Amino acid sequence: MTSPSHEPKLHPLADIDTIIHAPARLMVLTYLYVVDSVDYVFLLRLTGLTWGSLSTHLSKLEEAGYITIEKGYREKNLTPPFGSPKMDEQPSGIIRKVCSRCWMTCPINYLFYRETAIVSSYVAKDARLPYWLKEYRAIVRISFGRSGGSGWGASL
Amino acid sequence: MSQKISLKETERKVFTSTVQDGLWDILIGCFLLEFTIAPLLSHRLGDFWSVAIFLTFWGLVYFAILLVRKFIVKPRLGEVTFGKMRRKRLAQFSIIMVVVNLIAFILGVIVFLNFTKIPRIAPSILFAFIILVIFSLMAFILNFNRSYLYGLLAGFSPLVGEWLFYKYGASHHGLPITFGITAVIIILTGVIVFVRFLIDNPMINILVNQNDQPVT
Repeated sequence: MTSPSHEPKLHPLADIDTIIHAPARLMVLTYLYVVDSVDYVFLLRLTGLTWGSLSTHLSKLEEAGYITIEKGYREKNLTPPFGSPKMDEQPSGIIRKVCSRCWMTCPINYLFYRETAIVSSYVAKDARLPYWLKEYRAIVRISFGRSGGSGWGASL
Repeated sequence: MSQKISLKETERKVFTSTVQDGLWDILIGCFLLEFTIAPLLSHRLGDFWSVAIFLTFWGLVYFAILLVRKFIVKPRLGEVTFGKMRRKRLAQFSIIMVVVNLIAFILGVIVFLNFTKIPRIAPSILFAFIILVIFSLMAFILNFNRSYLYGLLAGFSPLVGEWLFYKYGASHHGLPITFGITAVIIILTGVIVFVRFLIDNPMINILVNQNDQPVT
Protein backbone atom coordinates (compact mmCIF):
# COMPACT_ATOMS: atom_id res chain seq x y z
CA MET A 1 0.00 0.00 0.00
CA THR A 2 1.31 3.40 -0.91
CA SER A 3 1.46 5.92 1.84
CA PRO A 4 0.02 9.34 1.09
CA SER A 5 3.41 10.90 1.73
CA HIS A 6 4.76 9.28 -1.45
CA GLU A 7 2.08 10.60 -3.72
CA PRO A 8 3.61 14.00 -4.47
CA LYS A 9 6.73 12.26 -5.80
CA LEU A 10 4.64 10.58 -8.45
CA HIS A 11 3.22 13.79 -9.78
CA PRO A 12 6.15 14.48 -12.11
CA LEU A 13 5.35 11.24 -13.91
CA ALA A 14 2.26 12.90 -15.28
CA ASP A 15 4.49 15.51 -16.88
CA ILE A 16 6.51 13.00 -18.89
CA ASP A 17 6.44 13.84 -22.54
CA THR A 18 5.13 10.72 -24.19
CA ILE A 19 6.39 11.92 -27.55
CA ILE A 20 9.97 11.57 -26.38
CA HIS A 21 9.68 8.70 -23.97
CA ALA A 22 8.52 6.03 -26.33
CA PRO A 23 11.61 3.77 -26.51
CA ALA A 24 11.99 3.92 -30.28
CA ARG A 25 11.64 7.70 -30.41
CA LEU A 26 14.05 8.12 -27.52
CA MET A 27 16.53 5.98 -29.44
CA VAL A 28 16.07 8.06 -32.57
CA LEU A 29 16.51 11.30 -30.64
CA THR A 30 19.61 9.96 -28.89
CA TYR A 31 21.24 9.19 -32.21
CA LEU A 32 20.23 12.51 -33.67
CA TYR A 33 21.54 14.34 -30.62
CA VAL A 34 25.10 13.15 -31.19
CA VAL A 35 25.30 14.00 -34.87
CA ASP A 36 24.45 17.03 -36.95
CA SER A 37 22.25 15.25 -39.43
CA VAL A 38 21.70 11.83 -40.93
CA ASP A 39 19.81 10.54 -43.88
CA TYR A 40 16.99 8.07 -43.80
CA VAL A 41 19.01 5.00 -44.74
CA PHE A 42 21.58 5.65 -42.06
CA LEU A 43 18.95 6.03 -39.37
CA LEU A 44 17.09 2.96 -40.54
CA ARG A 45 20.24 0.87 -40.33
CA LEU A 46 21.33 2.33 -37.01
CA THR A 47 18.05 1.91 -35.18
CA GLY A 48 17.12 -1.44 -36.67
CA LEU A 49 13.52 -0.30 -36.93
CA THR A 50 11.32 -1.20 -39.85
CA TRP A 51 10.61 1.40 -42.47
CA GLY A 52 6.99 1.86 -41.42
CA SER A 53 7.82 2.14 -37.76
CA LEU A 54 10.62 4.64 -38.27
CA SER A 55 8.50 6.70 -40.64
CA THR A 56 5.71 6.93 -38.09
CA HIS A 57 8.05 7.88 -35.27
CA LEU A 58 9.79 10.50 -37.37
CA SER A 59 6.48 12.04 -38.35
CA LYS A 60 5.46 12.34 -34.72
CA LEU A 61 8.77 13.84 -33.72
CA GLU A 62 8.61 16.29 -36.58
CA GLU A 63 5.06 17.29 -35.72
CA ALA A 64 6.13 17.91 -32.14
CA GLY A 65 9.03 20.02 -33.36
CA TYR A 66 11.80 17.85 -31.99
CA ILE A 67 13.38 17.15 -35.32
CA THR A 68 13.62 18.74 -38.72
CA ILE A 69 13.26 16.70 -41.86
CA GLU A 70 14.48 18.23 -45.06
CA LYS A 71 13.36 16.34 -48.10
CA GLY A 72 14.83 16.83 -51.48
CA TYR A 73 16.73 15.12 -54.21
CA ARG A 74 20.09 15.41 -55.79
CA GLU A 75 19.71 16.56 -59.31
CA LYS A 76 23.10 15.99 -60.82
CA ASN A 77 23.61 15.23 -64.45
CA LEU A 78 19.94 14.68 -65.04
CA THR A 79 20.23 15.05 -68.76
CA PRO A 80 20.65 11.63 -70.30
CA PRO A 81 23.53 11.21 -72.71
CA PHE A 82 21.25 10.60 -75.69
CA GLY A 83 18.68 13.34 -75.24
CA SER A 84 15.59 13.38 -73.07
CA PRO A 85 14.07 9.96 -72.67
CA LYS A 86 10.47 9.61 -73.68
CA MET A 87 8.11 7.85 -71.38
CA ASP A 88 7.39 5.04 -73.80
CA GLU A 89 11.10 4.30 -74.10
CA GLN A 90 11.46 3.60 -70.47
CA PRO A 91 11.87 0.08 -69.23
CA SER A 92 9.03 -1.95 -67.89
CA GLY A 93 7.83 -3.01 -64.47
CA ILE A 94 9.19 -1.60 -61.35
CA ILE A 95 11.74 0.52 -63.11
CA ARG A 96 9.14 2.30 -65.17
CA LYS A 97 7.31 3.05 -62.01
CA VAL A 98 10.34 4.81 -60.67
CA CYS A 99 11.03 6.59 -63.92
CA SER A 100 7.52 7.81 -64.40
CA ARG A 101 7.39 9.08 -60.88
CA CYS A 102 10.73 10.79 -61.18
CA TRP A 103 10.02 12.41 -64.49
CA MET A 104 6.33 13.09 -64.36
CA THR A 105 5.39 13.87 -60.83
CA CYS A 106 8.56 13.95 -58.75
CA PRO A 107 6.78 13.33 -55.47
CA ILE A 108 9.29 14.18 -52.84
CA ASN A 109 7.87 11.60 -50.49
CA TYR A 110 8.56 8.90 -52.97
CA LEU A 111 12.15 9.94 -53.38
CA PHE A 112 12.48 9.89 -49.63
CA TYR A 113 13.35 6.23 -49.75
CA ARG A 114 16.18 6.21 -52.30
CA GLU A 115 15.87 4.24 -55.44
CA THR A 116 19.45 3.18 -55.52
CA ALA A 117 18.58 -0.50 -55.18
CA ILE A 118 16.13 -0.26 -57.98
CA VAL A 119 18.56 1.73 -60.05
CA SER A 120 21.25 -0.86 -59.48
CA SER A 121 19.07 -3.63 -60.76
CA TYR A 122 18.14 -1.39 -63.61
CA VAL A 123 21.74 -0.74 -64.59
CA ALA A 124 22.23 -4.44 -65.06
CA LYS A 125 19.30 -4.59 -67.48
CA ASP A 126 20.01 -1.62 -69.67
CA ALA A 127 23.24 0.28 -69.70
CA ARG A 128 21.83 3.20 -71.66
CA LEU A 129 20.24 5.27 -68.94
CA PRO A 130 22.17 4.85 -65.73
CA TYR A 131 24.03 8.12 -66.22
CA TRP A 132 21.02 10.16 -65.39
CA LEU A 133 19.21 7.69 -63.19
CA LYS A 134 21.87 6.82 -60.71
CA GLU A 135 22.42 10.43 -59.80
CA TYR A 136 18.78 10.87 -59.07
CA ARG A 137 18.83 10.02 -55.43
CA ALA A 138 16.89 11.20 -52.50
CA ILE A 139 18.53 13.31 -49.91
CA VAL A 140 16.87 13.42 -46.57
CA ARG A 141 18.53 15.23 -43.78
CA ILE A 142 17.11 14.54 -40.40
CA SER A 143 18.43 16.65 -37.61
CA PHE A 144 17.70 17.55 -34.05
CA GLY A 145 15.69 20.69 -33.48
CA ARG A 146 13.89 23.02 -35.81
CA SER A 147 16.79 24.94 -37.20
CA GLY A 148 18.80 21.95 -38.40
CA GLY A 149 21.93 20.69 -36.67
CA SER A 150 22.01 20.15 -32.94
CA GLY A 151 24.95 22.41 -32.31
CA TRP A 152 25.30 20.70 -28.95
CA GLY A 153 28.02 18.31 -29.91
CA ALA A 154 30.52 20.15 -27.74
CA SER A 155 28.55 19.29 -24.62
CA LEU A 156 29.39 15.60 -24.95
CA MET B 1 13.53 0.10 -14.81
CA SER B 2 16.28 2.53 -15.57
CA GLN B 3 18.94 2.57 -18.21
CA LYS B 4 21.82 4.96 -18.52
CA ILE B 5 22.54 6.26 -21.97
CA SER B 6 26.09 7.36 -22.60
CA LEU B 7 26.05 9.99 -25.30
CA LYS B 8 29.79 9.65 -25.79
CA GLU B 9 29.43 5.93 -26.29
CA THR B 10 26.53 6.47 -28.66
CA GLU B 11 28.49 8.95 -30.72
CA ARG B 12 31.42 6.54 -30.82
CA LYS B 13 29.10 3.77 -31.96
CA VAL B 14 27.70 5.94 -34.73
CA PHE B 15 31.16 6.91 -35.90
CA THR B 16 32.64 3.42 -35.80
CA SER B 17 29.67 2.13 -37.76
CA THR B 18 30.82 4.33 -40.63
CA VAL B 19 34.35 2.96 -40.74
CA GLN B 20 33.51 -0.72 -40.41
CA ASP B 21 33.36 -1.40 -44.12
CA GLY B 22 36.87 -2.82 -44.43
CA LEU B 23 38.01 -0.27 -46.99
CA TRP B 24 40.39 1.43 -44.58
CA ASP B 25 42.02 -1.92 -43.92
CA ILE B 26 42.47 -2.58 -47.62
CA LEU B 27 43.96 0.88 -48.12
CA ILE B 28 46.39 0.48 -45.23
CA GLY B 29 47.35 -3.02 -46.37
CA CYS B 30 48.03 -1.78 -49.88
CA PHE B 31 50.19 0.99 -48.50
CA LEU B 32 52.26 -1.49 -46.52
CA LEU B 33 52.75 -3.47 -49.69
CA GLU B 34 55.11 -0.69 -50.70
CA PHE B 35 57.74 -2.10 -48.36
CA THR B 36 57.38 -5.43 -50.13
CA ILE B 37 57.13 -4.40 -53.75
CA ALA B 38 59.40 -1.36 -53.86
CA PRO B 39 62.54 -3.18 -52.60
CA LEU B 40 61.92 -6.04 -55.00
CA LEU B 41 61.55 -3.67 -57.95
CA SER B 42 64.50 -1.51 -56.98
CA HIS B 43 67.05 -3.94 -58.47
CA ARG B 44 65.67 -3.47 -61.95
CA LEU B 45 64.19 0.01 -61.82
CA GLY B 46 66.24 1.79 -59.23
CA ASP B 47 64.95 3.32 -56.01
CA PHE B 48 63.16 6.28 -57.55
CA TRP B 49 61.15 4.44 -60.19
CA SER B 50 60.29 1.52 -57.97
CA VAL B 51 58.72 3.91 -55.46
CA ALA B 52 57.12 5.98 -58.24
CA ILE B 53 55.49 2.91 -59.76
CA PHE B 54 54.28 1.73 -56.40
CA LEU B 55 52.79 5.12 -55.54
CA THR B 56 50.93 5.08 -58.85
CA PHE B 57 49.56 1.65 -57.97
CA TRP B 58 48.55 2.91 -54.56
CA GLY B 59 46.90 5.94 -56.13
CA LEU B 60 44.84 3.64 -58.34
CA VAL B 61 43.82 1.58 -55.33
CA TYR B 62 42.83 4.77 -53.53
CA PHE B 63 40.76 5.89 -56.50
CA ALA B 64 39.10 2.48 -56.74
CA ILE B 65 38.24 2.63 -53.05
CA LEU B 66 36.71 6.07 -53.49
CA LEU B 67 34.50 4.67 -56.24
CA VAL B 68 33.53 1.64 -54.16
CA ARG B 69 32.71 3.92 -51.27
CA LYS B 70 30.55 6.15 -53.44
CA PHE B 71 28.64 3.55 -55.41
CA ILE B 72 28.57 0.51 -53.13
CA VAL B 73 29.08 1.57 -49.53
CA LYS B 74 27.21 4.87 -49.34
CA PRO B 75 23.90 3.61 -50.70
CA ARG B 76 23.98 0.84 -48.10
CA LEU B 77 25.32 2.87 -45.23
CA GLY B 78 23.52 6.14 -45.70
CA GLU B 79 25.02 9.53 -45.02
CA VAL B 80 25.77 11.26 -41.78
CA THR B 81 27.18 14.62 -40.81
CA PHE B 82 28.98 14.40 -37.52
CA GLY B 83 28.80 16.93 -34.74
CA LYS B 84 31.36 19.52 -33.71
CA MET B 85 33.09 17.18 -31.29
CA ARG B 86 33.87 14.56 -33.92
CA ARG B 87 34.85 17.11 -36.52
CA LYS B 88 37.23 18.66 -34.03
CA ARG B 89 38.68 15.26 -33.29
CA LEU B 90 39.23 14.51 -36.95
CA ALA B 91 40.92 17.87 -37.40
CA GLN B 92 43.16 17.12 -34.42
CA PHE B 93 44.01 13.78 -35.96
CA SER B 94 45.09 15.43 -39.19
CA ILE B 95 47.29 17.93 -37.38
CA ILE B 96 48.85 15.26 -35.16
CA MET B 97 49.56 13.07 -38.19
CA VAL B 98 51.31 15.93 -39.97
CA VAL B 99 53.44 16.63 -36.88
CA VAL B 100 54.30 12.95 -36.35
CA ASN B 101 55.25 12.49 -39.98
CA LEU B 102 57.37 15.62 -39.86
CA ILE B 103 59.19 14.33 -36.79
CA ALA B 104 59.62 10.94 -38.48
CA PHE B 105 61.08 12.64 -41.53
CA ILE B 106 63.55 14.67 -39.46
CA LEU B 107 64.58 11.57 -37.50
CA GLY B 108 65.00 9.69 -40.76
CA VAL B 109 67.30 12.40 -42.11
CA ILE B 110 69.33 12.39 -38.89
CA VAL B 111 69.67 8.59 -39.04
CA PHE B 112 70.66 8.76 -42.71
CA LEU B 113 73.35 11.35 -42.05
CA ASN B 114 74.76 9.37 -39.13
CA PHE B 115 74.25 5.93 -40.61
CA THR B 116 77.82 4.76 -39.93
CA LYS B 117 77.92 6.06 -36.37
CA ILE B 118 74.79 4.44 -34.97
CA PRO B 119 74.12 0.76 -34.23
CA ARG B 120 72.84 -1.12 -37.28
CA ILE B 121 69.64 -2.13 -35.56
CA ALA B 122 68.80 1.49 -34.63
CA PRO B 123 67.05 2.45 -37.92
CA SER B 124 64.78 -0.60 -37.66
CA ILE B 125 63.91 0.19 -34.04
CA LEU B 126 63.15 3.78 -34.94
CA PHE B 127 61.07 2.70 -37.93
CA ALA B 128 59.13 0.21 -35.79
CA PHE B 129 58.52 2.85 -33.12
CA ILE B 130 57.21 5.39 -35.60
CA ILE B 131 54.87 2.85 -37.19
CA LEU B 132 53.57 1.84 -33.79
CA VAL B 133 52.96 5.46 -32.79
CA ILE B 134 51.11 6.29 -36.02
CA PHE B 135 48.86 3.24 -35.90
CA SER B 136 48.16 3.66 -32.19
CA LEU B 137 47.23 7.29 -32.63
CA MET B 138 44.95 6.32 -35.45
CA ALA B 139 43.31 3.66 -33.30
CA PHE B 140 42.91 5.98 -30.35
CA ILE B 141 41.68 9.10 -32.07
CA LEU B 142 39.49 7.44 -34.67
CA ASN B 143 38.18 4.67 -32.37
CA PHE B 144 39.48 2.19 -34.89
CA ASN B 145 40.57 -0.57 -32.54
CA ARG B 146 41.94 -2.97 -35.15
CA SER B 147 44.61 -0.40 -35.82
CA TYR B 148 46.36 -1.30 -32.52
CA LEU B 149 46.83 -4.83 -33.84
CA TYR B 150 47.92 -3.55 -37.22
CA GLY B 151 50.41 -1.27 -35.46
CA LEU B 152 51.89 -4.24 -33.62
CA LEU B 153 52.08 -6.31 -36.80
CA ALA B 154 53.62 -3.54 -38.87
CA GLY B 155 55.83 -2.40 -35.99
CA PHE B 156 57.35 -5.83 -35.57
CA SER B 157 57.89 -6.22 -39.30
CA PRO B 158 61.17 -4.28 -39.56
CA LEU B 159 62.49 -5.91 -36.38
CA VAL B 160 61.66 -9.43 -37.50
CA GLY B 161 62.97 -8.56 -40.95
CA GLU B 162 66.25 -7.48 -39.44
CA TRP B 163 66.40 -10.73 -37.51
CA LEU B 164 65.76 -12.72 -40.71
CA PHE B 165 68.52 -10.74 -42.39
CA TYR B 166 71.10 -11.49 -39.69
CA LYS B 167 70.02 -15.08 -39.13
CA TYR B 168 69.24 -16.28 -42.66
CA GLY B 169 70.57 -13.52 -44.90
CA ALA B 170 67.12 -12.54 -46.17
CA SER B 171 67.32 -9.92 -48.90
CA HIS B 172 66.45 -6.27 -48.28
CA HIS B 173 66.69 -6.76 -44.52
CA GLY B 174 63.77 -9.18 -44.71
CA LEU B 175 61.31 -6.35 -45.34
CA PRO B 176 59.62 -7.93 -48.37
CA ILE B 177 58.81 -11.05 -46.35
CA THR B 178 57.63 -9.45 -43.13
CA PHE B 179 55.76 -6.52 -44.62
CA GLY B 180 54.34 -8.80 -47.29
CA ILE B 181 52.83 -11.08 -44.67
CA THR B 182 51.55 -8.11 -42.65
CA ALA B 183 50.02 -6.48 -45.71
CA VAL B 184 48.34 -9.70 -46.81
CA ILE B 185 46.87 -10.21 -43.32
CA ILE B 186 45.52 -6.65 -43.24
CA ILE B 187 44.14 -6.77 -46.76
CA LEU B 188 42.48 -10.13 -46.13
CA THR B 189 40.93 -8.76 -42.94
CA GLY B 190 39.66 -5.80 -44.93
CA VAL B 191 38.17 -8.02 -47.62
CA ILE B 192 36.44 -10.23 -45.03
CA VAL B 193 35.05 -7.18 -43.21
CA PHE B 194 33.90 -5.70 -46.51
CA VAL B 195 32.12 -8.89 -47.55
CA ARG B 196 30.47 -9.10 -44.15
CA PHE B 197 29.45 -5.48 -44.47
CA LEU B 198 27.81 -6.20 -47.83
CA ILE B 199 25.98 -9.21 -46.39
CA ASP B 200 24.85 -7.40 -43.25
CA ASN B 201 23.80 -4.24 -45.08
CA PRO B 202 21.82 -5.08 -48.16
CA MET B 203 20.43 -2.34 -50.34
CA ILE B 204 17.31 -0.86 -48.86
CA ASN B 205 14.59 -1.28 -51.42
CA ILE B 206 11.29 0.12 -50.27
CA LEU B 207 8.53 1.20 -52.55
CA VAL B 208 5.91 3.58 -51.31
CA ASN B 209 2.75 4.95 -52.79
CA GLN B 210 1.61 8.54 -52.98
CA ASN B 211 0.25 8.29 -49.44
CA ASP B 212 3.65 7.41 -48.08
CA GLN B 213 2.65 3.83 -47.37
CA PRO B 214 4.88 0.84 -48.21
CA VAL B 215 3.90 -1.13 -51.28
CA THR B 216 4.49 -4.85 -51.02
